[in-house]
Amino acid sequence: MKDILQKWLAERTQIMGVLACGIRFPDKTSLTQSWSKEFPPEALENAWRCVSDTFQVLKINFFPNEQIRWVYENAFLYCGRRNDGICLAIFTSRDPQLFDQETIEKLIVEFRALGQEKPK
Amino acid sequence: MFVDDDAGFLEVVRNLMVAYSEGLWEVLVATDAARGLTVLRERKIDLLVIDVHMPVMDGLQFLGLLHRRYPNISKAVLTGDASDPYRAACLSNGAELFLLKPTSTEGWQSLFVALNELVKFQPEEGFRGVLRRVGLQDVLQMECLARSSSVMEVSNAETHGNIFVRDGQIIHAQAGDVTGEDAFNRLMSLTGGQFNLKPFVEPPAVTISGSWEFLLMEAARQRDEAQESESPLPPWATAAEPESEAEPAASQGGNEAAAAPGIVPGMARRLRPAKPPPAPVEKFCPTIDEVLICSTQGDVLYEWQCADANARIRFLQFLSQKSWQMRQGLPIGYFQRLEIESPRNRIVTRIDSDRALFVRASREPLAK
Repeated sequence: MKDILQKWLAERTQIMGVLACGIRFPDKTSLTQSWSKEFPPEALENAWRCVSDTFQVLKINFFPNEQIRWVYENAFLYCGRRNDGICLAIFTSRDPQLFDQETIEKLIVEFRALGQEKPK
Repeated sequence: MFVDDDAGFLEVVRNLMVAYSEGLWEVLVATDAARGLTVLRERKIDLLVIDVHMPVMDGLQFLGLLHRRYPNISKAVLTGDASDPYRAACLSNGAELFLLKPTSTEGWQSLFVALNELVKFQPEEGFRGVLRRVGLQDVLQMECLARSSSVMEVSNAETHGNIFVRDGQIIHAQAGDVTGEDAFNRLMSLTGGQFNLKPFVEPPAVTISGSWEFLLMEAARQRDEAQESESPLPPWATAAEPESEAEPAASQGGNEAAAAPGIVPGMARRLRPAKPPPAPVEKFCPTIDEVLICSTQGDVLYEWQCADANARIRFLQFLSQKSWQMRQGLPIGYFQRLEIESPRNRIVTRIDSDRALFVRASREPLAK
């Protein structure tokens, strides 16, 4: 699954307005892709850990834990969680002229469904 | 301070932590929650490391209690139970680190490194956490009286600025394009928002030379006059953001600019016409199911249909901590809100400097 997601991350997240993104696995490993030097891998790694912690806390509180969005002063962080516990996180600009929210949300849906297609 | 019911373990941990820190750490220990609380009342503690499996008081409750009473002390859990639900429960109750009890020399070294990072982590960023009933003016006064050097970053939805204090003297202020005393007075007149005390850096210019006592008095006078007069405060002096938290469920996938607070005046207006709002695909009737507003100390200020206020407060406290951790090393600015989505539900939480908000809404399809 990691190989599939690594390929998917590299191919599908090169979208205008996306600053950085990453995937965190339940075994606490992660994949990171950054298109801005202001988003260094160590800081992103820390962010992915926080995302994963948050999904776990949402779960124990019986809150929906499929999709969340963090709103910061200068950026959005879109996150999705698959049923197998793998989390996706995407930092985007806050300028709606720079990115399309709908595209990001579709990406999360795609991520959640990846590898779970029913055999024909 | 380490709190653990295993006295032998405490002895080992104390010796090792003192050795690894080369004597820089003073390690206190307590064998139960009551002794730990006594030490906390008597001593200043930088870091609490707790074994949450202790007799008498449930460890998670103890952690929650500590987090509520001592929100500014870093807390770590050191345990033998590494299950994910347990880890989540600890994090939800205020732990910043969740660590396994070491079983090897390397493990003990890693434990020390992790705890040492946690201790070092905070002063670099400056203030964190909760200052209930302590205002901007109080903190500035404390900085000046202590002859400190620091930069106070102040912001609300409309205004962002910095006040530079060197050796207890206010030497420069900047708010947007304005500098000097005008900027200082503007920042001091804000009725809400956030401030962050950061390590001192040299300002681009020295624009203020008066005594800090006079500056603070003058700022207070101007603020009082503004409040007493019939005319409202200038737009940049109000904390309210132009978004409505009471309607989170209604704004699905709409134009963000209409909802997002502007960082600088006029920004929201500039962004607003960027893109026409997408046509609604499905028609839902949003219903607010639950609302909670609490202070940053965890006191309920307002609640409506909240089934478990304590759980919500713990969640908001977790979020406050996590949102702060998240932005370390990233240029993303202040945390504003978290939106939790599912097809039928939406939760919006928001953390301000003096209160936190939790709103849960559901969406029912409109009857045809």
